[in-house]
Formats: sequence, structure tokens, C-alpha cells
Amino acid sequence: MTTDFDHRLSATFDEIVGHTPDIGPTPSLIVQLGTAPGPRRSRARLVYAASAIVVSAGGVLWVTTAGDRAAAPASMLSVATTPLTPTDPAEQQRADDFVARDVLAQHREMRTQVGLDDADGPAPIAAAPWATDPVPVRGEDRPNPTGGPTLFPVLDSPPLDIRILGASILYESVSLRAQTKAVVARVEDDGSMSELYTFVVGEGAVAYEDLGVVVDSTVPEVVELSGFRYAGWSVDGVPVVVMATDPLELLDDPGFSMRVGEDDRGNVTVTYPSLPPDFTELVAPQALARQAATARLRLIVPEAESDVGAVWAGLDNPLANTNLTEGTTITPTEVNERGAWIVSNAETDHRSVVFSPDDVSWLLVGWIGTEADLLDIAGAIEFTPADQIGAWMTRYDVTLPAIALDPTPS
Amino acid sequence: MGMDVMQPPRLVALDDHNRLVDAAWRTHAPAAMRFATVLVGPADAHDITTTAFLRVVGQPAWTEIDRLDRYLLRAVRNEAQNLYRQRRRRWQRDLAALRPDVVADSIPDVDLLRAIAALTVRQRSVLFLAYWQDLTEAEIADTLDLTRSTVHRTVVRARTALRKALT
Repeated sequence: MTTDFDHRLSATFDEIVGHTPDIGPTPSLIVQLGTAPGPRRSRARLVYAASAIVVSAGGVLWVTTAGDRAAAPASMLSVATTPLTPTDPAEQQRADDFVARDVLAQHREMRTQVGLDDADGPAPIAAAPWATDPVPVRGEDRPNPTGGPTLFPVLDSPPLDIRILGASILYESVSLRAQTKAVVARVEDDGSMSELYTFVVGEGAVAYEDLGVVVDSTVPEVVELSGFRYAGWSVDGVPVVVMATDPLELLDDPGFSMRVGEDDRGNVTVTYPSLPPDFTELVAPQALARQAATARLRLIVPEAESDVGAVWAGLDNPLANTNLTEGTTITPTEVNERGAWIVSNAETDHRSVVFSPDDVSWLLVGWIGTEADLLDIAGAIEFTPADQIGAWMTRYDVTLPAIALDPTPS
Repeated sequence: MGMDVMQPPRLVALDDHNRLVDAAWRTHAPAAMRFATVLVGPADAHDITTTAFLRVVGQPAWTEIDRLDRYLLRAVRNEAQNLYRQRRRRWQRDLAALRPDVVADSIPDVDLLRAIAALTVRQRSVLFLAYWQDLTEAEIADTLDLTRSTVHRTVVRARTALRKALT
């Protein structure tokens, strides 16, 4: 029996469908034809993401610059083996070539787009062509409760003249598509954010798309760490930190570091030797600390020989992040049938699923949440050899240039 | 062995393949795009559809797929689900772009629109196919590769959620 409610539903779907985009031309198969998305494309996204680093949920990216081979835990690396062993050396080589050439070219292109020469230093915050007017963000230093460096200015005190945003990319910046999406918000004089754009970076074009969205939550904050400034805010309750500097510079910045080690019980440990003891304030400022319980955790464990030790970025749940302080132990508990590695954080009682595609480079990205979430996600990802990384990239937007993972237990 | 290396027909086959792909896109993309719009909003619909389509036609035997239209819808649904958990809040904002401040005159039922936006991908998929495509539960089950009972439960739960949101 058709009810009034049914009519309402149909009519509403009519309206939604009425906004369907034109299908446009047939998608190009230049890349995909013959092979499903493979490491090269994935790596492309991977590395391209690194050239436009965005960290969301207050998550900030740390890269060790003094990795310790001995600290690379064999027990952890050993799970990164089958069934995802690479089978195509040529593809791997293309990926490596891409890393060496194309990504740098893309990075240069991005710099060009914001008016920078190659020889210029980190992109100034005001470099973006759309940042035509300085936006005053008023802030004052927030005392560090542990007496360490001051991290966060807060609103409504001495003005800090900063333009938001430079070559800024927000969370969800990497799609599985061949393009990288970015979101740019403009901060008004009163500190609120009134416009939100997405644009697509890729193929040399920058297209703006006005979503017509008014950002509802907005406490822009400015963070300065190791000489780099970040603009951060919350969008729809999602805390976001945007790095307003050159990501490649960041990778070289010894001020950001993290190490993955192994304790005497064989547990993986994460330490942050070069950050203030209360660095979690950085990823979990008080204003952003009341977030939903669901969270994602990113952990990238590169090869032991690299001088880049590990990368970690928290996402979505500052509450969880706050528990991942120095000495936090993450314990692998099981490896599921898909090769996903389940870990538990004993201190937070969260569980994460850690995927370990072993044809590259990086272990993992995970999810902290309920067990149902965990299992749901673990079941949702299709670990086919060809598109596994693509699948990953649909989910996670902060990545690093390819770093080979040594899957062999030492 | 040398003959094995030479593969002159490949270019021809590739050309034919491209024509098939083009035809498939023109035939099936509109429905897939509508579906994607319902699932992820207009801002991401093209992206989702394109990705799903390329994933489908990237398969070696895609031309032998029975009911390519439904297969593509499932691919779109999968793409949407893949992104949904990560981008839930974002999509809600995208769908919010259809709120009255943007399309004030055309939205007949803003509350319902918002309630739909809050549904899961599966719920939206099923409701859309039921209420816009007018598919039966059996057809929806076939299209989305779900059991009929799952479709029924999903419809009931989605309707309940919508009614609850509207009260």
C-alpha cells in the first residue's frame, strides 16, 4: 500500500536525483586498461599525497629522521608477508621511477601553482592565489601544562596575522581516483569560516567547486612547531590540522620524530623522542577533545634500513590519541585471514586492524573503534593483489613516499 | 617462441575494447551516476561512478558480465561504502549542499532529505532502488547482491529510521 510517506520518499529521491551530474565523456582507460590499478598508481597517490600533506583530526605527521634498525620489531614485520607478495618487478620499477621523477615534478607543479620557484623555501601561508587577503586569527599562547613549549594559541587574544590557507589540503584529500582533492576554507574576521571549496589537484589543472557549505565549527588555531606553522580548525566536528608549509621540508625536519621499537616482551612500542612530553596536546587540543569514540589510527612502519623510522598520525579521535603517548604499547594479537593484523591498545582498550600489504613499503593504517566497526572494515576491504593499495588509499589520505618494508624478521 | 612474443592483434582488440567501453559508459553511466548521487551526493557522484566503472571494465572478462547495469550499480555501491566510513561527515555535508539555503525552492521535504542523508549506504541504496527505481525486493536483492531477507530488513529499518527522524 502506498502511503503518504512513500510519496514523500519518492519525491525526495526525485530531488536528489535531480542533482545528478552529467556523465561527461567516457573515462580514460590509459592507466587502467589491461591492468587494474597497481602499485604505480597507488604509489602515485601515495607520494602525491605526501606532497600535499594533510593531517586531520588534529593528527600531525611525524617522521623519524633517526630510525633505528634495531628498533624495527621483527615480530611486527613478520606479519607483513603473504598473501600480498609483489609479483611484477617491472611495475615496482615504474613505481620507483615515479617516485624519483613524477612526484617531484608534481610537487614542483604545485609550487608553481602557488607562485613559488623551485629554489624558494617552504610555501608561505599566504602563497595561495586564492588567499588574497590576510585573515587575522587572534590567539594567545596556551600554557603547556607540563612546562614544555607552548603549543596552541587560542582565540581572542593578541592578533596573529596569518593567511589561511596556502597550499592547504584538508583531510580526505586523497581519493582513489587519479586526482587529489583538496578543501580550502576561508576564515572571516571574526574567526568563523564561511566558505568551503573543494578543488582537484591533478593533471595540472585546479578546478574549484563551490560546495556552498558553511562550516559550522570553527576555532582556527595556529600552531608553530620547529619553525613551521599550521592552521587548524574543526570542520563539522572533525578536527583538522592543515600544514601550511612545504611537506618535503617537514620530512627533513628533525623536530618531528617517532620511533617504533620493541620492548622486552616483544610488543611494538612507539616513542617520540623529539617531541615535547605532552605532544598529545598537539593532536588533541582541549577544544577538540570531545570527539566521537570512533577513530582511525595510522601507523606506517617503513624499512629498517631507512633513516626514516616510522610515521604515525592519529585521526578522528583525539581521546584515543592522547593515550598514544611515549611508551604506549601496541600489541599484535592476531592476523586475520586477509592478512590484516589486529592489534590492541592495552591502554585504551581499542583494537585496530592493521593491514600489511607487503609489496611496498608501509604497513598499515588502522581503525580504532568498536569491534563491529573493526570487523566490518576488515571485511570490506578487498585484498586483491592488483588494487589493494588503491583500496587503501580510498580510506586513508595521509601517506608517505614509498619506503620499502623489510618483511623478513631479523 | 618469437611468435608468442608478437601480438599484432592487440591494437585492434584494444580499439574494439575502447568502443565497447565507450558504449557501456553511455548506456549505463546515467543510472550509475544517479545511484551514486543518492549515495554520496552530487559532489562525489562522478568520481565514484568513474572509479566504479573503470574498475569494472578493467576486468579481463567484463564484456561477459551478465547484467552489466546491475554489476555497475554494485560497483558504485561498493565504492560508496569504501569511502563512506571514512567520509561520513563529509558526505553529510555534501548532501547538506542540497539544503534549502542552496536549493530552497526545489526541496519539498528538507527534513526527510536530511534523514535520508543520515542513512547508511546500504539503506540508501535499497530505498532508492525501491522508491525511485521501483524495483521489487527480489530485484533489489539481485542488483545489490544481497539476500531478499536482507533487503526486506534494510527497507524496514531504513523506513523506521526515517520515521523516527521525522517525528
